[in-house]
Order: sequence, then C-alpha cells, then structure tokens
Amino acid sequence: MAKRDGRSLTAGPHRLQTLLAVILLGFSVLVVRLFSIQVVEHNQYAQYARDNQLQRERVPGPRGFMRDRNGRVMVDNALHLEVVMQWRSRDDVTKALRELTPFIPVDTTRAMARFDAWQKRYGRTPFPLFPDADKFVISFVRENWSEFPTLKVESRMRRRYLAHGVAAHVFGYVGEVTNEDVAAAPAAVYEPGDFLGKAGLERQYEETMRGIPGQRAVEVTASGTSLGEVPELSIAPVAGKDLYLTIDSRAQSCLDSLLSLRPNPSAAVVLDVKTGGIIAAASHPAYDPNEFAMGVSSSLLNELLNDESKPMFNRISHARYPPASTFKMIVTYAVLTNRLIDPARVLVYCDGTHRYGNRVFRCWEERGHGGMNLTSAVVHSCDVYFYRVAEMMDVDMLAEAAETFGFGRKTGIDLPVEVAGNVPTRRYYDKRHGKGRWTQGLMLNNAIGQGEYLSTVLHVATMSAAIANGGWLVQPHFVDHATGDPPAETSRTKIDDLSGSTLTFLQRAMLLVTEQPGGTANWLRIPWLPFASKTGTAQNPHGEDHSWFTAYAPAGDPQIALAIIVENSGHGSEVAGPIARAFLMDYFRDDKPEISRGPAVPRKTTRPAVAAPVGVDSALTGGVIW
Amino acid sequence: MRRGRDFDWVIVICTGILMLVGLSIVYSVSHSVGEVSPEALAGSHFMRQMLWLGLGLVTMLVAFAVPFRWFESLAPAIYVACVVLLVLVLLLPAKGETQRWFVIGPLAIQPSEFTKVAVLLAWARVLASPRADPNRLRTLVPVLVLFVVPFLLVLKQPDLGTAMVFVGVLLPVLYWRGFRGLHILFLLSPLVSSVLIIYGENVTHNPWPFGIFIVAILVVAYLRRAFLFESVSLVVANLGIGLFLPVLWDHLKPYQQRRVTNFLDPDSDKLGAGWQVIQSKIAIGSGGFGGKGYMEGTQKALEFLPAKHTDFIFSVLGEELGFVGALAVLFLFAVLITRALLAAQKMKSEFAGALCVGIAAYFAFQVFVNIGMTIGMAPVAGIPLPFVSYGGSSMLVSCFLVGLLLNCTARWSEY
Repeated sequence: MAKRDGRSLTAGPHRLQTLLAVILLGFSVLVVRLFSIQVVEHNQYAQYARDNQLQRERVPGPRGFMRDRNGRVMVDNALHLEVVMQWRSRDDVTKALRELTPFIPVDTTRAMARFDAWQKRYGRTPFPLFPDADKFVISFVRENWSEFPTLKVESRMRRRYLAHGVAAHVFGYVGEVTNEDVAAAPAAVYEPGDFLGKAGLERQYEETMRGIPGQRAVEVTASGTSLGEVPELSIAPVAGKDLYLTIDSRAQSCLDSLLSLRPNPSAAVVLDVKTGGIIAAASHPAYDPNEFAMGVSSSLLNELLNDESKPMFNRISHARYPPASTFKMIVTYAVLTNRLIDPARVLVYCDGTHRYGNRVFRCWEERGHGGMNLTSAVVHSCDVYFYRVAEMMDVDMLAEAAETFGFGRKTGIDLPVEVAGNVPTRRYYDKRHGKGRWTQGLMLNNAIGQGEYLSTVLHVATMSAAIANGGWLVQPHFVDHATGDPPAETSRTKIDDLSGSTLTFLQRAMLLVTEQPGGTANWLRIPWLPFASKTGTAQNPHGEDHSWFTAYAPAGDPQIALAIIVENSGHGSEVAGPIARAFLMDYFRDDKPEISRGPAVPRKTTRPAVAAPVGVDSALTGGVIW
Repeated sequence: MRRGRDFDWVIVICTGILMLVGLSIVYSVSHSVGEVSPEALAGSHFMRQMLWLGLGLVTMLVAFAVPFRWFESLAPAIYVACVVLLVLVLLLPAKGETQRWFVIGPLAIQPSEFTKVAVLLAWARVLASPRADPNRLRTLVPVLVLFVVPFLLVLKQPDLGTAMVFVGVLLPVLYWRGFRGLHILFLLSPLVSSVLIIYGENVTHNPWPFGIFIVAILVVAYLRRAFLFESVSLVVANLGIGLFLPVLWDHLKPYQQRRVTNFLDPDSDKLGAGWQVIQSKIAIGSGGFGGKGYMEGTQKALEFLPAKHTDFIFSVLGEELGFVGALAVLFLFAVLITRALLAAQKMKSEFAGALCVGIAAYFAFQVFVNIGMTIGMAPVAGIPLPFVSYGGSSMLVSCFLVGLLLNCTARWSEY
C-alpha cells in the first residue's frame, strides 16, 4: 500500500490533467490553423491549385574554365542545342519517328535502342530525340511546333576543349554521372544526366570547378502560358571556379605536336625548375576529350580501349619505365656523396665489355670508350664504368640516393592516378628472391637504370629540376590557383645531403653531355642556348629500346627542366633528344640572336662563353676528362 | 473473463479506422502516380503497405499477448540491441547523405524508429523502481544517460526530427513521475535558448527574443530562489549557451549550418523543404471544407511532393477529404491519446503507468509535428504520421505501441 501512496504524492490526477490539456491545446492550434487554410483562405489556395501551377526547372551552375599561365582559356563551355521529346509510351516515340522520317533522316532502329536504354535509366523524363541537333533539325522543329507539339528545343552546356587533343590526358574528360556519383555527393549537387569530371584535372578538381545548381520557379497557367518567374522561390546558380594552370598553352601545343610526329607512344613533361609548375605535359597517342563531352559513343570507346597503343592510357603519371641512363645521375650522386671513389680517377678502361663472374655485361658502345673517370663516364654514358661502380656499391646506398631525389614514391602531382615507380632495396630483394639468395650482380643492371628500377617521366624531370635549381626537390603540379583563391605556395624540399661541390659536379657533367664533343647529346647542342642534358636508352625485352632524354635550360640560369620518353624507338639521343631540342628552340625563341649574314662565328670563341656560367669546381674536375 | 471486460475497444476502433484511412490514401497516391495495371499495382506502395499492415497486426497481437512484466524484464536487452543497430547503421556505407536504413531484400528498416520503443521501455523500467524519484540525481542521471546515447547516434545519421521525438516523449514521462516544473524548465530551456540564438542570428537577425527569454529565466530563478541550486544552475546553463553556442556555431561547416537553419526555417531552403511546404499548403488549402473527394486530388499528381506517400501524406488527405477529414483524423488521434492517459491513471504497476503516458506522448508528438509540418507550423523533420504514412518501420512501431497499450489496460490490476 505504501507504493500506492508514494505515487499519489508525485503523479496525482492534476499531472494527468495538465498533460492532457497541453496535448489538446496543441491539437487545437492545428485545428485552428487547418481551419484558416482550408476554410478561411480556401479560395486563394484553390485558385493556385486550379489555375496556376508552380513549375520549377533546375538551372545548372556553369563549370569553371581552365586557363593557362597567361590567362588564356584552354577549356570552356559551349552552348549546345538538342531536341527533346515529351512522351507517355513507347508508341509515342515510334509514331513521332515515323512522322519525322520524311523530313529528317533518322536511323529508327538505333533511335529506338537509345530510347529503350534511356527509359530504363531515367524513366519518364523527356527523351533527347536529337541529342546533337544541327541547324536544320533545330529550325525544322521550331517551325513545325504545331505539328510536333511534343518536341522541344533545349539548350545545355557542353564542355569544350579548345585545342582538341592537346594535353588530353592532363585535362581528362567529363562523363555522365552514375547513380553512385549522385548518391555519394551532397544532396542536389548532381542529377542523372549531369556531367562530372571522370579523369585528369577534370576529375581531380571536380569540386572546385563544378557549379552549384540553382532553380527557376515559374508560374504557369493551366493553358501553359507562363506568368513569369517567382523570384522568392528562385535561386541563381553559382558558377564553378576557373582553374589557373601553370601550363603555357603555346609550349603545350608545341610539345604535343612534336610527340605526334612519330607514331610511337611517348610521354613528356616540362617543369618550371623553381616552382615545379608544369609548363607542358603530354602523353601520346591521345584522344579528343570533346568526343566525351556529350557522352561517349560505345563504338568510339571500344575503338579507344582496343587500340594497341592505348590512347586512353596516361603515360605522364601512370606509365612506369626503367629510367635507363638518365639514372646515372643518381648513381653519380651516390658515388660523390658517399665518397665511394675519387671522381677524377680513371677507374676502368672500357673495351665494350665487362666481366662479372662468368657473365659478360656489355657497354652500349661496342667499340669501347677507353679510359673513363666519373665525368667522362657520364658524358659518354659509359656502361662499363658504372658496372664497375655497381660492384662496389651497396644496394641500399643506391636506393637511398634514388629516394633522396624522389624516386620510388609518388610525386604528389595533382592528377587522380599516379604510380610510385620502384626502388629496389635489400628488403625488396630478400622478399623477392629469399634472404641471401641473390648477389651483387643485380646491382650491375641497376647502376645503368635497368634492373628493377622503375620511374615515370615525372621522376626524371623532377630529378633534373633538382640538379638545375640548386638542390630543391619540387612537387610537380598543374594548378596554380582557382578563381578567388591565393596562388598556391610552392611546395619544395631542400635535399640536405646534396653538397655544393656535388651539385656543381652533376651540373657540369650534364652540361658536358651536350657541350663536349663526344658527349652523347653533343650533336643536339644549340649554339645560342647552352643546356644540360642526359640521354637514356631503356632496353626493352619486348621490342625496340625506349628512348629517354632529360634536360634543363638555359644551363647558366636554369628555368625549365624536361623529361621525354619515346617507346620502342631507339637511342635516347636519336629520338627523344631531337624532340627536346626542337622544344627548347621554340620555347626560348626570344633569346635567339638575329641570324648573322656574315661569316660563321668560329667555335673557339663560343666555347668559354658557354662553360663559364656553370662555375666549374676545379678541385673536383682536375683529373683527366678524356 | 476479466480480461475481456477490460479490453479497450475504443482504442482498437480508433486504430482500425486510422489504418483504413491510411491505406486508402496510400492507394490514392499510388493510383495518381499511374500504377493502375495489375502487375504495377502488385509492386506499388499500396501492396507493400498491405504487407506492412499485416505484419503490424501480428506485432500488435504479440505486444498484447505477452504480459507487460516480460517487457519490463526484457527492457535492458531490447535497449542494448537497438543501440547496437544504431551503431551498425552508421558503420554501413552511406546511402546518399544520410545513414538511416538497413536494406534486407525488398524491405528497408529504420532502426531509429524501433529505438523509440526501446528507450521508452528502458525509461519506464528505471522510473518504475520503488525508490525512483526523477527529482533526484540517482534516478535522473540514468534516465538521461539512456536518453543521450541513442539521441546522439540518431543525430549523427543525421536525423534531427527523430532525435527530437526522444525529447518529446521523455519530458511527459518524467513529468508524470513527479518531475518538478523547475526541473523541466532546466532541461528544456537550454534547447529553447539554442533555437532562439541560432534563429535570431541566422534567420531573423534579431537578438531580442533570446534577450527576453533570458530575462524571463532570471525572473523565474528569482521567484524560485528557495531552490537555490536549481535556480543558479538554470541561469548559468542558459547564459553559458548564450556565450558558447555562437563560438561552436562558427566551427560548424557551412553545410552543417545550413542543415540546422533549413530545419528551423524551411522557407530558407527553397530547393527542398520550403518548396514542399508551400506545395503542401496549396494542396491542403485547395481541399477546402469538404475536400475534393477521394481519389480526386489534383495536386498529388504533380511532381512537387517527393514524400507525398510518406511524410507528406497528410497533404493528400487534406486535399481529398478536406477540413472535415482532417478534423476526423485529429479527433481519432485525440481519443487514442486521451484513452492512453486515462489508462495511465488506472494502472497499479508503475511501469505500465509510465508506458501509457509515454505511448500517449509518442502519438501526440508525432501527430503534432507531422501535421504541423504540412501546414507550415513545424519544421520539416521527417516524422511520419502514425498508421497513415507509408513506411514499414513506423507502422510496426505504432502497432507495437498500441498493442502494448491494450496489454496494459487489460492487465491494469497487475503489478
């Protein structure tokens, strides 16, 4: 009984009454409000419902442009007209097509196949009967609107790449949103039928460039006459931000055309050595991203995907190659930094072969190079010298040197796909072959950049940039800033282990590759533009060798660094080298002196002028070069 | 046959009519969308609602047949199970912006709905213990802990509406168990303060309502100065909110801020909720006194109401059945709620009493917010109208609660 009493103290009938009163009061408020809407203001709402409808349409926010470093537009949006059809059943579409055929030639079977796919995906939304309508179709539909009242001309934005296939892999392309895209994004950002970036910068900077859709609310009478916009219910769309790229559109076009001179797949990247901003980057063969801008046709896609040369493949950041002889710069760095050998000492006499155990390793120059010290080995790209170095060098010592220059990890470039390449370490070999089941012999191939070392053109270009700019490892990037944002701060790290004398040695060696008679790139030298370079020839078990070339210019005051690979084409100096030379001549065309009509300047006088700016460290190079 | 005599047929009749009304309106909506062919009808919302109704009746029978004491002993297990489900649903990949559903075959289940029952059972059990006194911390703290865990989990989904239901049910139950007015004010006023601050700063740009509220709080605190600790805490809590909420607000991401302001002020969300409310008012208003007649609604056919068969079903009801129909539905709910409250008074078991009050509060809150939302008086909160809105989880929960109510009334004399 005590319990009953206890409750009567706390939960008496007045509590029940209060609760009931509060609830019923709330309900009364609802009743009053319903009464006011349904009875008092009924006429007004009935008017709305009977005569006028509010219709709303979505206004997409324009996608941001892409501009080059001078503000020139490279990618924009073009207005595109299409004819859509309102329909209730499949028969409506068949009937309309039958009636249209006498005037406009239509492939009925294909159109119906497209319709079925459309219906499956979008249900009963207006069907784009002529998604790519030309002027004739547009004017026909507009003139005959009374015969074909279900047809309507609609405009939409389509992405336009002004230079077509130029920098295709950099820009990427847009494609229609998938259901997963719609679900993954915040509400109301995408609707089926919208386009979003699928590859390249389009994808990487999707959130920056995409606009925010708005809506237009229009009052429409029952007969379909528009009574005008209802501003309170309309929202203006917001345009996406423009991307200001580090690309120079002229240099980019030049690079693309140079690569496409040969059918061989190739890739190239040109960096600003100080900031890491990419001035031009190309992957060949390419495709025209405009073909994707309204949804790519399956036949074209199949053609692109089945093409042996893989035009869709982004060779800039996604293709891994053995760095070949360009990697000798890293080996040289490792030798100098670890004081492995005296660089001036003539270490080997190259007769074209090198014996390791019972195996014979060959130099690319079958006749041999003769006596070689470190500088001349780089200049002549003597393999035998580096085989000898490899015998003395620890696996991890070279791996550490490579990692110092960014090999073996992603550069962090602003593209959606990037591969890290490969830097083999002691652990790597232990894992692959078993502990103690591999020999130093593996290092011989590594020392000439074959073996297990793999890199992208970005790695090699970044390496050259670091040698050029005094030892800063830059991060390659395409985007300087977006509209309204401050320019991105340069992201670069100082290579602490790179001493001044080592740097000078590397710079001088690379300069001599071009400038010294007998250097592998000597025949490519430009008299008015001294540049440093390194050639490479990647042996390819599946076919012709890949041709590598990396360079920076001008040698005295480096501004750009580049790396080029041309697949299955031969020696570095023969294929990739001339491309680089042509590019440099175009890029620095303003520095070219007036063509003199007088007698040719004797070579003797030009020499010192070239070598002087580098500041040769005589202590390091005092030895024999030849 | 004492059980037969005490069986509350009024509740059964009210529930039955509401179910039939709901089914008819869902049919009407399905019909307008064009699902007329037999095969289309088979997969329509109407057919699925029939299925849910069948399952609901079974649930109701179970909730009625099992003695309520069993639920009292099972309450902790049910609570833990629901909280685990809420955690799991957050761990699943998101479906769009929100994570509310488990999809099992063709059926989507919303654990937050079932949590409403679980939390109610747990509170009732804690408050029913012989030494329970909600004015003391040893009772209040467990109750609040039981409340806060699912509240935060549901808020994380994010589902502000459902999270609010917890508050709407908790306060009446506490009040019923003797919670003092001052304490209710203490729990409720920070919420009111928050709303006034956010609303004042972001929607009306008018700080005065919050200022007036603070003055009112100070007056109450002075009048109740006998309860010194409570009065001081009340003032400190509200002033604290006034100081720290703006700071916290600035730390929210813009989309999070927008979600809150859209909730408080649907008109600001022209693309979504605001549009819906305007269209809903046109539909209801155009229904007039007697309605346009069943199946004769015109506004429902338009694309404007994406949730016309679920949260906004009352708009279609108001259009087709008019003020009379709307009043009838409100009346049926009012009867149901009154019966539940009257039953609470009669219960010998404290547990059953608290349950009955909780059930009454649940229905009152859902009905008020849902209908209020369709006529622009309450935030667009994603709260369904019990028995009427299409939706399995809501139907099962409402049926279960009515079953439980019948269970209590039939066994009123049991402890």
